[in-house]
Amino acid sequence: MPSVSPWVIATPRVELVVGVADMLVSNNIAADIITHSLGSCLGVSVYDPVHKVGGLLHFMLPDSTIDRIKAAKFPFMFADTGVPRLFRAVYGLGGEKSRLQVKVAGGARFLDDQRLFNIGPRNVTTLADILARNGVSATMDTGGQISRTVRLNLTNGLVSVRTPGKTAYLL
Amino acid sequence: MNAETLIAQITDLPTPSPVIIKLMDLLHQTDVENEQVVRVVKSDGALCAKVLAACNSAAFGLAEPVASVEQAVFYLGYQQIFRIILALGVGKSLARALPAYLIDEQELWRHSLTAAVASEVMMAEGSSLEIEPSVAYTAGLLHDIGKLVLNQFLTPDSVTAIRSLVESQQHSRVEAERAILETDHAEVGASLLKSWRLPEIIVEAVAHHHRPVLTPRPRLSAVVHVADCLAHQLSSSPGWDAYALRVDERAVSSLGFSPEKIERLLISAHASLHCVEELASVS
Repeated sequence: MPSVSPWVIATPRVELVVGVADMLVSNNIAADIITHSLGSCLGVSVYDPVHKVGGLLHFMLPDSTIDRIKAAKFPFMFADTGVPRLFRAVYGLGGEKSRLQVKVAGGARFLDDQRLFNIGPRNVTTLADILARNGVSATMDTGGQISRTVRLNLTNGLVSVRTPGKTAYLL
Repeated sequence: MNAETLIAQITDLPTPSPVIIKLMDLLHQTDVENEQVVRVVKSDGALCAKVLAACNSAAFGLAEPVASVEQAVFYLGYQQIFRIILALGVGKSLARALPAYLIDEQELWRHSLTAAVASEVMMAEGSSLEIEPSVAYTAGLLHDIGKLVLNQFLTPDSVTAIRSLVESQQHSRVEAERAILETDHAEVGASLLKSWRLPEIIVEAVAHHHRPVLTPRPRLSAVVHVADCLAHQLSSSPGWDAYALRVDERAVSSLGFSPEKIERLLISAHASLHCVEELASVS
């Protein structure tokens, strides 16, 4: 009779990477959804802990009215066109609004960034408005002069943030 | 310590081949014929082979492999061949990890490529400066090359001192470098490029990319300053306190850019990011 191996070899976790102006949803509980180096952009993570489905959006700019044609082609570039699509895609996989855990990171700003490059703070304000209008509350980690890499673990919904030179922390 | 003395002390300096330096110089001149550029590339057999290998790699998706530099120019266009040659010249050096800046492998290379693409986009879309787009591209690509040198020179103590100025006293990174080292990566990078005998316009752009020259009229450093900011906003923002960068708003307005125009430039540069993806694999 063959002996039972004392070793348990864990299946490696799948890494799904979201690029700039893009979005990914999944119900693969062996996967992490990651987006790298968020500066003034925002990463929006949505997770339903019962159905274990989630998604991550990496948007760049607040308002799609600046370029409707581009928004039709790249809806995830903008908060106003990307955020509703993220939520709808998670609902499509069985997520329910009342259970969703929403976590947001990014929105860095340059020094003396008062006017011309004020995109990070504008992204934060616009997203907060969209979420408030829809009765959604979120945990936010935004601002500062740092870039952030965000990882959503689809097994348990934990969202970790890594910034160079600092220990990763949970949001 | 001044930048020249510092460079003299470093032994592991990036050194592109003389042919690549000659090409960068050629592109700055007006009325350069494509054939002239092809001739320079062909004078270096090893470079020629690398250019063809890069063109035939999966990244560029050619249906038929190219067998000569002329064919490569025909299929991929002269601008793209130039970008590939530059990537072959400096990609390996810029792709290194820089522990003193907490920059991982490939990160500075991608940031440099993104700033290069953004510089080119700015020249194509609304900058009133009369500068060859390929020159703007080159300056954008090389703007942070001084970090390769400073990375070798920075001690743990000087890194701690620089970080403390940034994190507790709101210095920009370049201001903190200057306060601690009496020089900064922009000045050191410019000295390095000067030692390669690159055209003055590129040396100026790298030297002043954090303090752009605006009078009597804006120079290429103003373009590279804005392109650097755009690259950070396109999620190519490597290292600790990556946004500890002081925006010179006079530079932005002197180029005629409104906040709305900045957003439009970001959208246009995003459309060119596929270029960064293709070139990131070349080295």
